[in-house]
Amino acid sequence: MSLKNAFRICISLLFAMSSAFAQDPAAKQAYEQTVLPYLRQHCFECHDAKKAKAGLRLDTLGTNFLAGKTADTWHEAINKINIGDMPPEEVKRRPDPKQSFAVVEWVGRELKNAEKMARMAGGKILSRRLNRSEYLNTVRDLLQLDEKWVQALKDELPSDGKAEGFDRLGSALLFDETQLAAYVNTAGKLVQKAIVDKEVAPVGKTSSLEPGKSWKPRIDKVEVIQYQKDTLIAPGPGTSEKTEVGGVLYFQMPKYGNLSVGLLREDSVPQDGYYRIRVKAGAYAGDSGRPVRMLFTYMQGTQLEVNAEVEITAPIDKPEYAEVIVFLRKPAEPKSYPNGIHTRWTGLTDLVISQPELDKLTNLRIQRAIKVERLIEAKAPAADIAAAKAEVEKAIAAARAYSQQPDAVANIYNPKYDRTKTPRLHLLSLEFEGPIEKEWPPKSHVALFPGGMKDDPAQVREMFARLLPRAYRRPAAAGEVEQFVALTAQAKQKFKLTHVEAVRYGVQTLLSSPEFLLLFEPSAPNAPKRGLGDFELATRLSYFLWSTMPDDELLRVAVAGKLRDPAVRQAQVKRMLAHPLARQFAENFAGQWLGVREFESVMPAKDYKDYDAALREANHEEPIAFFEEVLRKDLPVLNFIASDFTMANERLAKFYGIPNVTGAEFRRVALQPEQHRGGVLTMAGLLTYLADGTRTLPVRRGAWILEQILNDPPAPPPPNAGEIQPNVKGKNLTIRQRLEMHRNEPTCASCHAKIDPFGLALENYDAIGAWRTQQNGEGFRGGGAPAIEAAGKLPSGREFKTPAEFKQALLAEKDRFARALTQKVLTYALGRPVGYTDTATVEQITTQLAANQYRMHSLIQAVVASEPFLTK
Amino acid sequence: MNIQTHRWQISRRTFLRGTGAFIALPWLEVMSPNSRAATTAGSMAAGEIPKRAVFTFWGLGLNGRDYTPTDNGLNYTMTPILKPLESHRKDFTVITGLKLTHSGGHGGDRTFLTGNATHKADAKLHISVDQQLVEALRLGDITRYSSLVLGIQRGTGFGGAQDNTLSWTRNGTPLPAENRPDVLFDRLFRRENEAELAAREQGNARQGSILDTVRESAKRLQARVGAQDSQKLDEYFNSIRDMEKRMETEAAWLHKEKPTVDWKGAVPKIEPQQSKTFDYRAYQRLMFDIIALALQTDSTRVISYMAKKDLSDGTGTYGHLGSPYDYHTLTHHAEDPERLGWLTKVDIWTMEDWAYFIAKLKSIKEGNGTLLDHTLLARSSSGGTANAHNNTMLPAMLCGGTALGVKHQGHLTEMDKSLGNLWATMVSLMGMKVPPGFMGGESDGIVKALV
Repeated sequence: MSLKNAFRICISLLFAMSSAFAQDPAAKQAYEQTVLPYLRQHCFECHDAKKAKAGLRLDTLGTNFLAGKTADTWHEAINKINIGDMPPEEVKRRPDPKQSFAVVEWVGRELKNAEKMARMAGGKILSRRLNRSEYLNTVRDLLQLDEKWVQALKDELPSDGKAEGFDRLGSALLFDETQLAAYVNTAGKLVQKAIVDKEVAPVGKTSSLEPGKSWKPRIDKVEVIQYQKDTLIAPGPGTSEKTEVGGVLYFQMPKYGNLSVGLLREDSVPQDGYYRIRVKAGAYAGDSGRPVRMLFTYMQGTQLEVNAEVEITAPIDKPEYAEVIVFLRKPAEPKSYPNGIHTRWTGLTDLVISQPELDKLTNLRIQRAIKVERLIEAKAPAADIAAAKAEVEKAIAAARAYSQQPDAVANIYNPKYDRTKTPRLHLLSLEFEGPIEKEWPPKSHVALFPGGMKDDPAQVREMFARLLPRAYRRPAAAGEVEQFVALTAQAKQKFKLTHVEAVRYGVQTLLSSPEFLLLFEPSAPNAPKRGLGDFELATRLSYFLWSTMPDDELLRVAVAGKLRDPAVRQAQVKRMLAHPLARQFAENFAGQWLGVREFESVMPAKDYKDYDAALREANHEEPIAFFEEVLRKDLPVLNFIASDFTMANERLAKFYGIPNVTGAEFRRVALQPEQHRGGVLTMAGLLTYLADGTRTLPVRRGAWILEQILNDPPAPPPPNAGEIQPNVKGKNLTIRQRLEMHRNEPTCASCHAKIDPFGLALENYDAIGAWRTQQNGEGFRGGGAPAIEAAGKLPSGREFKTPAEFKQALLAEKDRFARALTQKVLTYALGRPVGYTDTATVEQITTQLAANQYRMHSLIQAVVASEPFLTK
Repeated sequence: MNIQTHRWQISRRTFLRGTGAFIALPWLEVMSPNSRAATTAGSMAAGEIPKRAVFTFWGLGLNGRDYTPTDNGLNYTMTPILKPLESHRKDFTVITGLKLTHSGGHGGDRTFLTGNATHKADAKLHISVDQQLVEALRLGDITRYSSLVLGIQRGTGFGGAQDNTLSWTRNGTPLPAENRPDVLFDRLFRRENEAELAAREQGNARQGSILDTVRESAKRLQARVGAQDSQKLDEYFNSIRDMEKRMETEAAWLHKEKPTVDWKGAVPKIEPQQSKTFDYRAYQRLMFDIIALALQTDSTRVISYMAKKDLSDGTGTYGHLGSPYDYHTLTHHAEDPERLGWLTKVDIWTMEDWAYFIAKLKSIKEGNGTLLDHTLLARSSSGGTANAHNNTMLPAMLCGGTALGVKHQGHLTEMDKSLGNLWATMVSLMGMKVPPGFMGGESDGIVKALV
């Protein structure tokens, strides 16, 4: 923003409103009763007209934080008070730390309010650009492009700034050259994909494997004792054999096996796109009760990992083709495919086992050999070592004796299976092909040119006439359509383009234009507030609940001019909340409100063995799925504080100690008290995020709850605020004890008294959110670790002893949470800060929420029906 | 775009769009003679030699107990971690005691060159020091690349937990970092063939035409909005103008031959990865080689380099040399002697690679001195040196730059001063006036002892 503009905005703000301060009677009262007397008593002596020490006068310092340097001066003043620099040491009369804190807190809050005010634009919702997820969703829906392909473009767009905790605020969604260049370039890729100029789909490369060709019979002899040629015996049954038709018959799936080594070549995945994995196979399911499946993993263990499977339905003696189409991302470097397409099948892994008797002999030999090593290491008497060595010799002799039996074999069939009924796979070939087009011409092309594309200006006109209103989210004037028809024709001449290229150019221009990229609501300069039109309403609703453009139904209602009718609007909101796209609201609102998008910032140390990639993924999904469940089922929002269910998959359920949950998909599971979960505060992902990977950080947890759950962020820490140091080996002080030491310093005490109880209440959850009753991590080991104490009380005095009681205490004061959540949702919905001027709106919504048993839909409906949502 | 070309004022152009013809702009003639070949660099008069600034970032701090000297002055007692630099003693100053308010934790990367309140969702983002230099000195008019933005990981990383870049535009947009040595080398030194050049020009012409159209649309919108909404449109107009300028400058450079450098064989394709097999040493030295060439050929004068990230550091922590821990685990050593031992060992390896870089810059003659003498080369970190990542006692070091007026002091203690002061010193020596509010206010002057 240019300076001139910044100035213009500031001036208009000053005229548009009186200071934040004047509008909040509580703040005014606090100033008069606490701050002013404090300043008089401790500051004015030096910082007044007479002395103005350090060139600073506090007696004339105003309370309008939006004026001039007022905010900076206040900030400087509390920093000095906070670190104890002021009043200076030589002044005998020391301020009461509690009073100092009250001043610090008041200033902190006013600073925050001033910042909000500056962004509020007098309560108007400003035009803003689409954020990254909105942009991708919108182009997907506008052009009917493939979701996966579109999402793969995400990394090419600059990411979005946030304000007030969300990426929907115009004040943080800036436009600059990097941004525009990315839009223009991305639009180029979009049109290339959406509009095609080939009759038939381009064909990707194919590579194939025929396992039968490289299959070799197993070696015919095995050594019982390594390198002892005289101990060779027959290997016993194999796990696969070659078939007459040139395939391989598998009886067993080796645990770490891979059936497709060498299938991928250097350039097998040259670009992001769809690829086909095809097999020719037959199978016998035996008595397993489930059809045989082949399992494929691309880029195992990397961020690009993709899993897919194919069910083999053809009979074992009549192999048929079966295939799966997968979307794969191009690896950063060609040829770096860890394990290629790692291929397994759902066969037994223990059909062939080693001969139990031989197994015993081998183990005996190894154990005795280890014993010898240990004795040597421990410098045991020579006689002991010799005796142990003799034992080894005995074991070797026994193994050799075994090998000399005429019918000795290394492996046998596992006697617990009936061999005629175990699953089998008959594999003839494996093929990998791509990139492929799932359909041709693509859906996007057909949508733009339903009857096929012709070199005909009339068709171009028709296409833009349909596209423009959807792109601009409003009816388009004939002149606007003509403009695009004309520039397409001009480009054809000017750049010597083919018809297809010229049309692409026209659409690319459309996708780069401000009316597409900006959520734009015209209003004359200095115009008073006005009600929104139907199309503007449709747009606000759609981006609020779906993070994308309005669908046909919403546009139809808007065209009919009915969206301003409250009953129709309510019905539309209801419909939208039931639509699959409402998942976007869970991802984008809850993903930011509950910090999910930042979960990755904390990487637990290796000492936390329970933490793995599957848990990390489950941690991400749980809060989103939980939010979605509350949203879909219209449950009370109080479930976010405490609930008798959560959303979990097998991995997460195992971590929480919930039995009988199998499979990777998330579902609702009932919780028992002994599992110590329910609500968002005790979700493993959040607790991990609010620790530092090695230890819990109660201050961070407490501050987060104040900010996100109660919307009452603590005052900013003083500039010298240290960190609570980790436990030092041998000292064994709990974090609670270390925090208490910190609190003994009077300047820290007041603020921490407010924050810490909220964080310490969750001390039963360690740095990865696992339940604990004793201190762990930070070098605490075993029995000597101190016990966890979670008891405390809320600022209101309400006491609790356990995390469960802590949640109940929060619920007893549920209106604080209900108001906070209202403010958060309203901020997200409006795309501007919610401040004092919105007090009445917030109260109204909160009241309605309470009157409807705190149900989620009543909150959304009330937000949509609120005055700021409906006006420009 | 990984290499930033300009977004700043240059005199308005004669730019024939649409015909594919570009008229070379007169200001290109001010381009330094070094830009033609690495071999001509040494033959310049002292006045011609450019001034350079390189900012490097090494996440998570280091083991201060084995790094920080106990005594000040030129003859300070060597410490184990500084030992690899022994032979360059006169070419650098270790500065102890610097801090940054918003550093520390696992997100000190963002505040490093900006003073931004790190990673807080609401933090106002401002321009980084390197980009301020680019603007102030109009480097976009002078070198092919106004700056290089480099890192151990590619892109911006913005929106994720840690950034991949140190550089931010004036509007607070992160600039993506490049991490592929081969791509970087190609950008700097590989000459495009005729077909590639023609395609680039054609693409530029079409983009220019799109920009013309959308500017007209924005103008029509502007007539329909109030002052506050019009601010967003102003941003849009500015971005069109900046993009045009960039395309224009790029077009002008398009037909200027890239410098000739003596490089044997192909540049290896190494992609940094967090794995025990990644050879961080080979990678680092390769990047240093290319950076040295970029400076020597005057392809750029300002570089930011995030050599190690702030959490999962992106380096593999010399796993290939046997380090069993990742760097993050090492820094939370909990006073465990084994981890402390490895921390020091890994820090020494890092410093050995740094010594390689210094030696490299020193080996290139420029005028009466060396490339190092004409380069302000800084390294510092997001983290202090205790058993957690503090925002104080950031290990900092300024190397080279004697031809720009640096007076090295051996070990210098500037207790509780801001790291911003070191940046202020560097930009002043580069010839930029330190603006008010520099580093978001995290600077109260220069480090006087250094000049």
